[in-house]
This record gives sequence, structure tokens and C-alpha cells, in this order.
Amino acid sequence: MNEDIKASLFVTCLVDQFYPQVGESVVSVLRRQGVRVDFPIDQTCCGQPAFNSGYHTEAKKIARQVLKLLANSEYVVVPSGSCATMLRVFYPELFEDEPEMAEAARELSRRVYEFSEFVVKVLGVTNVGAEASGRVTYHAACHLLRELGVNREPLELLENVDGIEFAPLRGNVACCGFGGTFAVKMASISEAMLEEKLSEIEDTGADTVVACDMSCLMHIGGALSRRRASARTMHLAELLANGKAAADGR
Amino acid sequence: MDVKTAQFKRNAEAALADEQIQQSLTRAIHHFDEARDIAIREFTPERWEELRERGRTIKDHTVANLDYYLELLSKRVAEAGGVVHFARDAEEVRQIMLRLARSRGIKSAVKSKSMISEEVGLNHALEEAGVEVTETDLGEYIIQLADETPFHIIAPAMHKSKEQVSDLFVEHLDEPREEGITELAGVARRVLRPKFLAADMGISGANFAVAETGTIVLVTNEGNGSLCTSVPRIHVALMGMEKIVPDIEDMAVFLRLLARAATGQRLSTYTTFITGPRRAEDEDGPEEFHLVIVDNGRSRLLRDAALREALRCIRCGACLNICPVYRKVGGHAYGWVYSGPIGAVVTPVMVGLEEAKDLPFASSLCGACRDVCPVKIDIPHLLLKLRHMIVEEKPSKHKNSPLAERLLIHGYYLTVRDRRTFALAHRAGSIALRAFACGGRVRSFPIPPLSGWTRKRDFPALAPKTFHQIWQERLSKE
Amino acid sequence: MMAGEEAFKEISQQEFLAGVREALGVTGDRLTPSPHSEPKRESATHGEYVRETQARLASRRMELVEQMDKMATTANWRVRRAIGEEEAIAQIAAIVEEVGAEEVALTDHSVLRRLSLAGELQERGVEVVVATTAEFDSRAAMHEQVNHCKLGITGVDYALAETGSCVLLPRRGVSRVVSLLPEYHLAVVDASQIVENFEELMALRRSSFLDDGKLSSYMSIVTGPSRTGDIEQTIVIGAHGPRQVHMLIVDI
Ligand code: SF4
Repeated sequence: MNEDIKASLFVTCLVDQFYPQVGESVVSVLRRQGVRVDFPIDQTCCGQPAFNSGYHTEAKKIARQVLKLLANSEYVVVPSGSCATMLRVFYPELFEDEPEMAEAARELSRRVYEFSEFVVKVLGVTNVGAEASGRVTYHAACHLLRELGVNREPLELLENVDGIEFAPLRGNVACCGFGGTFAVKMASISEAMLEEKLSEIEDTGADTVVACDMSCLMHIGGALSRRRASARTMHLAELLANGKAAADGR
Repeated sequence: MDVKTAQFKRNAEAALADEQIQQSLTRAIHHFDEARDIAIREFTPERWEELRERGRTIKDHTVANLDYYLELLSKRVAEAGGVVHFARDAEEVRQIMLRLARSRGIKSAVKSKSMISEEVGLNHALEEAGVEVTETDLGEYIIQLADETPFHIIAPAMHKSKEQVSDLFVEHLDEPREEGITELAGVARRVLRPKFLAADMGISGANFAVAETGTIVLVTNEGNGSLCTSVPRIHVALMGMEKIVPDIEDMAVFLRLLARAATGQRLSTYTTFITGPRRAEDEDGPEEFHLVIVDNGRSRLLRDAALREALRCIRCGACLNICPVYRKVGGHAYGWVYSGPIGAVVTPVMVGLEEAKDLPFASSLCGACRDVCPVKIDIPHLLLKLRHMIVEEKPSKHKNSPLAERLLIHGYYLTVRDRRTFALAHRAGSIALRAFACGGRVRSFPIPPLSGWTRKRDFPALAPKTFHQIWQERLSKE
Repeated sequence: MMAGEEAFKEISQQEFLAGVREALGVTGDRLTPSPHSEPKRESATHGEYVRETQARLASRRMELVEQMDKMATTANWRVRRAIGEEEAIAQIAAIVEEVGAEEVALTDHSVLRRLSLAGELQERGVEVVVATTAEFDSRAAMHEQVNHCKLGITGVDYALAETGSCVLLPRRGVSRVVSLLPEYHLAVVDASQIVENFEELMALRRSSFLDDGKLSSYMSIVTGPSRTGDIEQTIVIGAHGPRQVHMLIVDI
């Protein structure tokens, strides 16, 4: 077990306000692995919406708060590839012209992990003893895949979920069209991209679409719901929390 | 070329609604992607990565020492008997070309592909001066007949169906109608051959320029580049000033990278190294060789330590092919010579941020372009940098972004800067969204930006309790 | 001359470079660049490199011929091989007949001269055009004539096994257009001309530059027949250059 590991959960604003069950699942999976999880209560958002739109002034103010908030955390676990990217990759860039802050940002970036990455790389666990059913497909969120280079980890974790049938997406590397403000700024293009993703999902015959980022899932799920499709979306943590319980104490 | 970059959104909508364009995109992109993939897989991933890394470092080195290499190139071209011209902008390029054409009594010119000539609108300028200009790359020839601009860096007529090409040929050429693709290519060969033989001037671009030897390197598949530079009595090559590599040994890296990334070939069919005009003892080749080295906005990229990276680009088009946005809207939507991800980076800097302020936002920042770029340009990060410049730097702070957006971002900031306001927002938002929600989701929302979302996507209702609440009430105590 | 034109003054190199330096943030004149990331051979060691390379390639001749044959075939060359001059001439004659060329353009390349190809073909009733300006009133006339030939036969100066390419260095006696204008091209490769990869080819060319202080005016690396994919991304063989290319690898 990993009792000596302490991790702070940075739950992300989207999960906080729309999908708190994802945060609960993360806590449950990590605790089952023995991790001591805390939740720095003053957190809200990582600042990405401002940064992504070019508003560095606002993004910096938020980033400063986050840096302070997480200054003493041993590990920071983020259930979103995109927000983890903001903390790990974009903060240092954001403070390019402020050496001291940039150093603090780089220092934080070494402690930041996306959820699946944390479980596999830090905890060294690929089987959390989860159990589920149905046909599951996995959408590789862009920032997770290309900014953080995390792809193998979620797939390994999925592979070890008992009772599911895994159906990979054709062209799994394509963006779902979310892209933060892009989804509303360039709505038509975003919709066209989403269309393609949906048809790929449909082709898999999956009833559950799993990803490590609620923003993509909100996007994909929003369209599935609009079409009254039967497939549902689920964060990887939710699937993993669905456990045979921690009983076997891995 | 006219700058229509300000209308990106409108152009994009039009392209999305154009079935012909959508069909062409699907067909062509699939072809390019597959070919590139197969070609690159011939190498181990480590080998490909090593080549990309070398390409990146060589280019970075050259660009960082551009003054030195330009001077060397210019000296060596002159030593080989060529004449070097420098041009800061489009007008200077046109003037240089017009003067050359007039003073040499040029009546007809054949052209091999040159993006610079597209940048400066060279064809029209020369035509107005009475020079018959003929594009000889089949794709360029087609769009010249159609009086359009390139749809793709390496496949300019990608958006045309064979039926459209057939119509164009019938309309413009004195040739019987052909329907098949092979036959249509045959028509072009037949019509263009006499033009090659009769032309006074050959105009080309330059895929690379080798400083040490004063050599320009041209890459084509059709052989038109070789003909343009071998038959006419004058050859003028136009090059962007960043196209330099130090010496020909560097070409071992770039030829491999370019062909594979561009068309999925091991090497393009014709790779031509041109060093000055023909020597006295040569059997043929042009009597005069001119090299026009062009800035046209590139020094603005050079000036910015981060954006400078874009000058590594070898114009392979791979980032266009992989880009989910380009795949949907195609090249014309971008409104200028360069499209796709790299176009979204260089165009705003080259034509002016105010003219093209939508382009850096025309990306979901998915990063696929960076993965395929043979010289590893970090396009998504450059786009982010440009977004920042547009919003906060030029011409004056916040001028370029709409008021509503600024208010929104500020409102967002006020909301998230404190967890208490954040919690309040949740409560207020729950009430607001509830007014539009049905069955736990919002199907339509009248106010932007959310209205853009709900056109085709439902928006989730806010959770009854935030994670903050759940943590405090329960999880923290477990 | 037009008014606007007289007024136009080209910017000088000095002025242009000053702008570049300014953009780069360099002050004053810079004479040497920061060191190249890829250290290169200096001219002093080049001769040695050339000898080494040639020895290495010679010791692997058979292997390289095989690789050349294979890669050239993938690049859509129709490859044949011949051992000895006699067989080479017979093969060439067979190709001339196969493509149905009554008129054949030749460069005056040493590889072809060694085979006395012009004479051999003429003896077989083939009309031969040796594409050198000495034989014509003007270059235009030469190009016209070559343009009429169905087949162009050239020697090559290197062959590149990595990609199955022929490398041609036009010069005195060797016109640029023989491999370009006719519908068919036959490249005669001497097995000793094969190099394995781009690095060797480029280094050999660079050493020639470092020795002579100049490069020949033209080098063409040809990899298969001319092609285009510009209509609906469908590959059509035979755009502006030859639609069929043959390669004869001769081991003498
Ligand atoms: S940015 Fe990279 S991928 Fe795109 S055209 Fe340039 S070199 Fe090719």
C-alpha cells in the first residue's frame, strides 16, 4: 500500500460544479490504494479559460493563487488532462517573463499528475480491482495525449477492469472539437469535428465512452444526449471506483 | 494576393456547407495521411525522431544566424555567376520582376510552384505588363485557369473534381473534352510542352537554399521545375529569406523529411540543385540566373524569440492534412496563401494581427500538427502566444477583442478568484440554468456564448451539490 | 521605361541585412556564426573521406547493386542488369525496340561513349541525336530535336541506392533535357557509381565543391517517372517528364 503517499486533489471547476461524482470517485480509488488524499479548500479553477483565450492578466492572477494553494502539496492529482496541462505546461510559459514565478511554476509542474498517470506511474498500480459491464470505448483527450504524453496509462487501467469489453475508437487521435472556448467561438467547425467523433463512437457499438477529461466528455455527452443516443459518458475514475472493493488489498 | 483573412468565420461556414469541398477534403486528406504514415513507418520511431530533431536544430541554427548565412549565400550565388536581389515586401518583388522582364524583353514565362509569387500576386503584375505567364505545376495550372488561389500548400487544386477540371480545360483551351484523370493530365502535358520550349523566362521558388555553395534546391514530382530551370534563357528563383541551410550535407536530412511528410514518398521524383546560370561549356541551362531573396513580413516573425520558430517550416503541408479544422474548412477559408495550422501562425504576423485576428483562434489546440511536423514546430503554443498578443499586446491592450468577451473573461475572473463567489455562482447558475433545463440538461440557451454550444449539444445542469460541499460534509470526515 | 520604375531602387544587400540583424537583435557586423549544431568535415579531411567512402562502397558492390535494383524497382524504374559491354549494348537495343523508338537522343556521357552507343545504335538502324550544341545551330534547335525523340538515353554520375535514384550532373557534352523531354528515358548506371545513402552523396558533392571551389551548375536526382497527383490526388504517371523510365545497371 501507499500509506506514506499524500496527494492533494485539484478537482477542477467543471467537476466541482457539474460532475462532483468524478471527484468522489477519484478520492475513493486513491484511498483504496492507501493514498492520503486532501482537498485544498480554496481552489476553484486553473485559469485555462482565460489563458486559452489570450487573457494572460487574468490567467496570471488565478495561477498565482493556485501556486500558493498547492505550494506544500507532495503530489497534486488532477482528474483532467487539460487542467493538468495548464498547471504543468502552461503555468511555466505564462510566467516566462517573471523568473521567480516561473521557477515556482516549474517546481509545481514536477508534482502535478493527471489522475490515471498518477495511479500508474506514481502508485505503480495498473489493476485497481474494478468491475463493470458493457462495451467500453476510450477517447484520448488531446492535452492528455499530446501535451502530457499520457496514453498507455488509462488504457492499461481499462484493460484490467473486470467484465467489460473494450472497443477501440478508429482514428482515436482526432480531437472531439471541444478546445475550450473554441467550441463556442468557432461553433460550426467544432460541431463538424464532433460529428466525426460521434460516428466513430457509433461504429464501436460501445455503450460507454470513457475519457480522462470531463470537458471532452461534456462535449461528446452533450451531443449524445441531444441525439438521445443510448451511449453514456463516464470519467475513467468513475469506472475504476466501481470496484470489487478494496478487499483484496493490492 | 488579396488578403481575405478577416472573413475566416464566414469563409469557414461557406466551406462547411459546400458539399463538393467536403468531398474533396475527405478524399484527399485520407490519401495524404495514409501515404505519410506508411512512408514514416519505414523508419523506426527513433530514427524518424532523430531526423526531425536534426532538422529542427539545423533550421534553428540557420535562422539564429540568418544574417551570416544570407551574406554567404549571396556571395556564393554571385561567385557562381548569379545575380542576387533583395526585396523587403511584395511591391519590391513585383518591381524587381517587372524590371527584369522589361529590360530583357520577356514575352512569356513558365513558372514552377512558388509560394512567394502567390504572396506577392506576381502573375497578375507580370500579365499587366504584357508578359504571358503560365503555371506549369498541374495543380497551379488548374487554379490559374480558374483564377483562384491555392487550396493547399502542396496540392493547390485539391478542391477541384475531375469534372470541374474537365470543364475548365474545355473553357480555356482549344482541346477536345477529356473526362478521365490520366487524359486530363495528358492535355496539360500537351498544352504546356510548347510553352516550356518557347518561354523566355523560367520562374521558380526554392525549397531550400544552400549557403555554402550558393545552390537552390527545387523539388517536384512532375518535372516542371527541371524544365522551367533548364530551357528558358533566364531563370529567376524567388525565395523566402528563411529557406537557407548551411551546406549541402544538411540536405540529406531535409530531403528525407520533406518527401515523407509531404507526399509520403522516399524522395520526390525530381530534386534539382541549381548553382548559378549555365557555365560557358554547359550544353544548356539559362544564360542568366537571378535569385530574389524576400522578407515580406518574415522579419516580424524573426523579431519575436518565440514566433521565430515558425521560420523552420519547410512547407510540407503535413500539419494541414492532420488538422481537424483544416479537414473541415479547407484552405480558402484562411483567406491568404498559407492555410491550416502553420497558416494560422504565420499569416497574422505577415499580413498584420488586426487583419487576421480570428486565425489563431481557429484551432482546438489539439496538437496533432506538432506531432506530424517534420521540424517539430510547436504550433499550438505559438497559437496561444498569438492569442495573447491579439488580446493584450497589439495595437493597444484589449482593442482587438470584442467588449462582450472581455466582460465575460473578467466576470469569469471575478467568479473564480474566491471560492465563496465561486460557490455563489453555483447557486445562481443552478437557478439560471434550471430555467432552461429539462430532464437534467439544457437543450437551448438564448445568450452567447452558451447559445453557440446548445445549437447541437446539450449543456449539463449544475450538480445539486458541488464537490466542495461534498468534501466538507462527508469526504473530509471519512 | 515607365515612370514608377525609374523611381524604384532595389534595396542593397547591406541595407537588407541590417534589417535582418536588427530583427535578430544582433548589433554591429557579425562575421562568424555561432557554431553549427552539426559539426562538418573541414576541407583538409575531405580527400580522406572520399577515399574511405569509395573503398567502402567498392567492397560492397554486389550488395549495393541488389539494393539499387530493389529500390529503383519500387520507385517505378524498369530495371535490368548487364554484365559486360556486349550484354549492355544488347539490352539497350532491346529497350529501344521495346519502346518503339525510331529516333533516340543521347548525351555524350563517358559511360555511353565507352559503349560506343551512338555507333552501335546507328548500325542497328536507329536514328541517333547526340544532344550537344556543337551539333546544332542553336540551343532551341537542339531542344526541338530532342523533344521529337521518343527515347532519351543518359549515363548517370551517381546512383543512390537508398531511394533508387539516378543522379545526373549536366555539363559539357551532357544536356539537361535528354532525361526530361522524351517520353521514355533510359539511364545507364555503372555499378561502380552506386552510393548507399544521401549522406554519402551529399558529402561527395560537398568535397568536390571544397576541392574546386565551385559546384557544377546543375544536379538532378531522378527517382522514377514523372508523375502528378494534382487531380483528385490520383497518381498519374507521366506529367511533364518521361512516362516510362528504364534503368540498366552495368557491371563491366
Ligand atoms: S509547420 Fe511543419 S508540418 Fe506544417 S507545413 Fe511547416 S514543416 Fe510542414
